[in-house]
Amino acid sequence: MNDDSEFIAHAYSLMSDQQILLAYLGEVTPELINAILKGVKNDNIAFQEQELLTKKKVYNIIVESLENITRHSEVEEKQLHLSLFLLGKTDKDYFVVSGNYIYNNQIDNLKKMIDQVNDLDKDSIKKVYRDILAEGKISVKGGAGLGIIDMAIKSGNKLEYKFVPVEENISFYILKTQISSATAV
Amino acid sequence: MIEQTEFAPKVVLDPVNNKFEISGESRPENAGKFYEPIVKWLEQYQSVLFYQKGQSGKANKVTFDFSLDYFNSTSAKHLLDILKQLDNYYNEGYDVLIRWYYFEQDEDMRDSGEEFSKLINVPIEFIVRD
Repeated sequence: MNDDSEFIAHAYSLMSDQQILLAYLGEVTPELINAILKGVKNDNIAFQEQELLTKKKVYNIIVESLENITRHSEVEEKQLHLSLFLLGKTDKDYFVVSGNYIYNNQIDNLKKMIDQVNDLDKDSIKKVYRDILAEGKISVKGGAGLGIIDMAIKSGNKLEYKFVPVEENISFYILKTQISSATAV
Repeated sequence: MIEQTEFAPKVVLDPVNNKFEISGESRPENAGKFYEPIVKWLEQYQSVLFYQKGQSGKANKVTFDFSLDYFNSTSAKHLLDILKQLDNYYNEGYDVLIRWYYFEQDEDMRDSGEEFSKLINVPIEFIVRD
């Protein structure tokens, strides 16, 4: 066996410095989503019992993030199927990060949608949510942007995003959502 | 009746005992496929109510309980389809009661119910779960 201790020490310090509870890099499948959610449900250490609302919010945002990845993973190149998922906890907040490859022609729509949501106050976002629900406009992928809107409503925070160019027509789409812990407020 | 699984809700449609319920967690892998037969059933049940009213002058009461721990955004659209169907009953003059259960701490679940209630005419009764 090679001596991996340096790498392991590095991974350890990286994850503890960044306060990562869970990190995953790979293909996001329904089975993986189920496994992650089971873990979160049963986790009474990272999530204190009195924080039911916070735990539910985090749970909610994990679901929408992961489903968002499966919805937007259209890049066909096999080596670009790897998606990133992070769940972390700082003193005050939990954060959920998703990262996946997308074609550049999706960027404008995504940017527009997230910027729009970020510009609205809570009541206006709820109104948009209701409008989309009422119109029943569901895209072929079943999304209709409802997931993003739901994440904004539940987190109560602005969504942070970044598109990192990878190849001529492909970028890595990173979305970060922060959830303020109820007891820390 | 559909039994609850870890990620799909329990559904009860029992007109004999006036017990209609959707409970647990709603995150089925294919929400459309899961909810379609339920909405269809409710659609068809309206003709039963119509028949009852014609026969005896009064249709059975429909009491529908929503007691969800969690539902994802994809399920939301289908839950609204169910509520709209109940709304049709109500608008036709049938006796409908919708109860929305939530844990006291879970204000998001209460909010969700309130958002739904803005999209239909039939009033929703909010009840804190034990």
